[in-house]
Amino acid sequence: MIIVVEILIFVSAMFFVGYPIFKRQEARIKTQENEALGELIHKKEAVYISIKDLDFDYRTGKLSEDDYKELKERYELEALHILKDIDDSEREKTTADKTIARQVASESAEPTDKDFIFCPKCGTKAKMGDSFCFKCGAKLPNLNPAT
Amino acid sequence: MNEIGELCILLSLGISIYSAIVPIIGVKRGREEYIVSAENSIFVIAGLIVISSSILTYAFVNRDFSIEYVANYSNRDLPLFYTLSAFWAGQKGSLLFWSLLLSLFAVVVVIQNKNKNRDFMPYVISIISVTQCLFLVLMTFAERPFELIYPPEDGSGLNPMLQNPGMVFHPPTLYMGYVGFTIPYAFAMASLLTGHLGNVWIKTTRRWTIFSWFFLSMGNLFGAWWAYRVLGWGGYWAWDPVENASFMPWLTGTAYLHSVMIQERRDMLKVWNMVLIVLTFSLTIFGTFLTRSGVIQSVHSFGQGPVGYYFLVFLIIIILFSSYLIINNISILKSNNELDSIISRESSFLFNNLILVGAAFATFWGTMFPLISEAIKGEKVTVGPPFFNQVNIPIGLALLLLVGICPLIAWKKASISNFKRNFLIPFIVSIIGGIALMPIGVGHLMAWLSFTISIFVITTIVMEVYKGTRARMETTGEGFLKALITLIRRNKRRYGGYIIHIGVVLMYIGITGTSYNVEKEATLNKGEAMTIGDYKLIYRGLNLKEPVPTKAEAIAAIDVEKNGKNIVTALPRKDFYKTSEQPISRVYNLSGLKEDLYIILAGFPIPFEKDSPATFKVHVNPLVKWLWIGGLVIGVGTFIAMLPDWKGKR
Amino acid sequence: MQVSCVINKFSGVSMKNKKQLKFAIGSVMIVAAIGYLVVTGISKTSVYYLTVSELLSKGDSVYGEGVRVEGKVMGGSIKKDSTALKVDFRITDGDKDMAIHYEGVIPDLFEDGRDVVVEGKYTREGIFKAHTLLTSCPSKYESADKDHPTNQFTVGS
Repeated sequence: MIIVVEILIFVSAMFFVGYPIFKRQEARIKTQENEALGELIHKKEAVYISIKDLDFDYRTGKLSEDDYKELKERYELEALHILKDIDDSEREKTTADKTIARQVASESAEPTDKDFIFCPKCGTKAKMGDSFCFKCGAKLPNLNPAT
Repeated sequence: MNEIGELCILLSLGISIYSAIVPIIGVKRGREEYIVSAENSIFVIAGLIVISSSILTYAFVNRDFSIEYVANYSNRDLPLFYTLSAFWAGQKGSLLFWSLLLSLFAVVVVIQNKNKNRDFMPYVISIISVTQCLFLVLMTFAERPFELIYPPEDGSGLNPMLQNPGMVFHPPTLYMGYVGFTIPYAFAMASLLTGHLGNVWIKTTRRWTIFSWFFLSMGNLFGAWWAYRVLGWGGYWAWDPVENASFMPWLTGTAYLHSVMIQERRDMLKVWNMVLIVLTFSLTIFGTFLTRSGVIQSVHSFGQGPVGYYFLVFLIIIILFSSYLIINNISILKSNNELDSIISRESSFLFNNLILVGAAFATFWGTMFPLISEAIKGEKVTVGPPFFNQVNIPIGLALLLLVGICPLIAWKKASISNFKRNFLIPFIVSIIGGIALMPIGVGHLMAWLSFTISIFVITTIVMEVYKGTRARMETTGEGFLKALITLIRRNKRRYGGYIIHIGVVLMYIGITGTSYNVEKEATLNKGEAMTIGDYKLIYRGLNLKEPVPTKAEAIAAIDVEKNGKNIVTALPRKDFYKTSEQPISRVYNLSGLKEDLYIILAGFPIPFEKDSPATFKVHVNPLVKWLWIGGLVIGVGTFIAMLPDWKGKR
Repeated sequence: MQVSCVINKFSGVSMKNKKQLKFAIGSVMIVAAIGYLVVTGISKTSVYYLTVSELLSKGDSVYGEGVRVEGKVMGGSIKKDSTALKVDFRITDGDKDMAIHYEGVIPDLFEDGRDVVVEGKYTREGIFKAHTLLTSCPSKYESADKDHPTNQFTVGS
């Protein structure tokens, strides 16, 4: 009896641990955001906290008006710079995505015309089997190359 | 059943090794499924450890004395409540309990980070698993919780001194604090390993840090409470190496808790924060090593087995690994920002940090001094409580002063004139308070200082809350109460923190009361009286009772009169257990807000004779209760600080 | 990077150095104060931790100085006072032994054969006058974890 339970525990543990490896599919959509972008967003939040603190300190009489104005100006400038950086990095990210897509496309071995289709909307060349156009995002016709 | 328990531990060890290695391979090869598999492993390990813990609990409840651990820590007469707590009364069970906590915390971490911090998670899982391996290795090879023996008729029972509510809660809370710090440590190391050294790891582990800090505080406090109620020497803290072992990580953890706030706002002190979290985690392991290896002579006697040395090896690995990572990243960790002004909240936090770490160092030095002196001079020299008091009291007072000054100073840059203006009222209030307290201050300079600074701190905090509320009332037109509540709700961390500070001040007041402790010993014949403080104690007789067959109680009856009025009949006693060759004194403690009357029945002639003369030791300990009340207030503050933000959830 | 540039615009280099200097001074003062406390604390409060033989071999220098001695209570040597507030006994380290006189509340766990630690002064009469008597736990619970019973009674500390 105990042997049966032991085997049961062992097998189910092994199954649960090993399952994702044998399943071998793209396990989860990566919600990974651009790291630099994430950092910038945290910096932005830090500045926001600081501005909040600054207002509070001023209103509870811990800062002189001059200091308050000077610091606030400085923080706002800082926030502005960070926001600009965030914009830049978002733009970079989209271009980076394009580069990756292009690389993926070029990496697929010995591309022949048969392996590509053209987007019905914008005419971009796309890999056969892709569901969406990487440029305009339009749905691509699902043509199975085998047929 | 025990086979299943053993199998679960062995299996978790295998899987922990797997989940320590596989996520790293997953990262190197860019295989997400490896990481998912490691995450599943975390769930499986938790499941397995829960099964083996349940089996041990079942064995305890079922009185299965064929398991050595059960036979050694319980018997048939043990009430259910203490039978359950016997789980962590000994070395083997506490290792399993530790492992259980770690596995459950790991599950929470995996769930919390299902869709974020994906770059950190492989390393976090790996580091947690390595830590888990330590406990599982110990339980597999050195201290097997499911070891069998030839079942005795009855177990040896739980040490009567451990049969106390304080001892039921002290180990679990302390372990939760210890284990909890593994999580911020793992994230810190993950950020070093990935090179993503921003504030993400700090924000992710913010709640874990507060959580662990809180439980570490409560663990220490429960320990003190237990010592006070059970050990019967009239105090709660003796600067024993065991106590210091859990006090040191508390000090560095407190420093860490404060300094991360600066990094969050100013992107500074990255190296310092890394050092602090490594120090805190190392000290939790060091404490375990100290208490389980017997390298330092302590009145608490521990198993002097090899277990401690496993922890020592682990400690060395951690320190080498972490220092290597920090040094390797030091150029990136250097911050761009600098302090703007010496009068700023940042700098007050920094000084607070230095003081806390200094106190931890002083405590460490004192605790390790026998070893250090033996290594250097070849002579064993020890320092006792006088050393720790002499060093830590001034440090503690400086810290308390900072707690008061801190809310008066603005972030970044406070102007001197405003600071002076804000300083004025608390200063005047505390001067008045100080003068009023003069009579009790004579001959107790430190105590007087402590009370005066406490008044100062409370005034600044109350003023700070009041001013914030006023500011809100002016801008929103809300009533006082509504403004106060929204103010706290809008900024839970700030006000939760202030409440915690008030709790800390109350604890200081309780601790300061120690300076006015009075104690007296007397041998009384029946009908004789003794006086101590405002109290008159009249000895009314000695009786023997046998409430259960395994225990006999010698109970002394004492009428307590305060200022001539009879208030209570105190019943201090000595218990004699069949399972333990030694009697245990049970303190009678009459606890009030002003002072505790603490009576110990120290002795009477053996063999027992009804109403024979008896010796008593009596303490009057002022203000002790405020220490426990302060603990409760800290609990409330922590709860508020940890509340989630309902609005603006991203 | 940009952030630091912005800040540097506002604070000149000399200002910055001055601030850093103030800060360094503050920190050094704190560290020095703690160091001072530790050093004086050690020199004022430290006591030798010796075995019986070590104490006896120290000769004259040990009289009147506070020391801590560990040893085992010799069987049959305990002479308790009727009030249970004074006790005379002998401890040994297996090699040499000495007489102890202790005044104070006697710990519950104090008995023949127990390992004890006494703190006090060795007198010229060859009697160790202890003000603190600490006992270790019963052997039965030796293997248990840290949360172990301890009895500590300190008098006049």
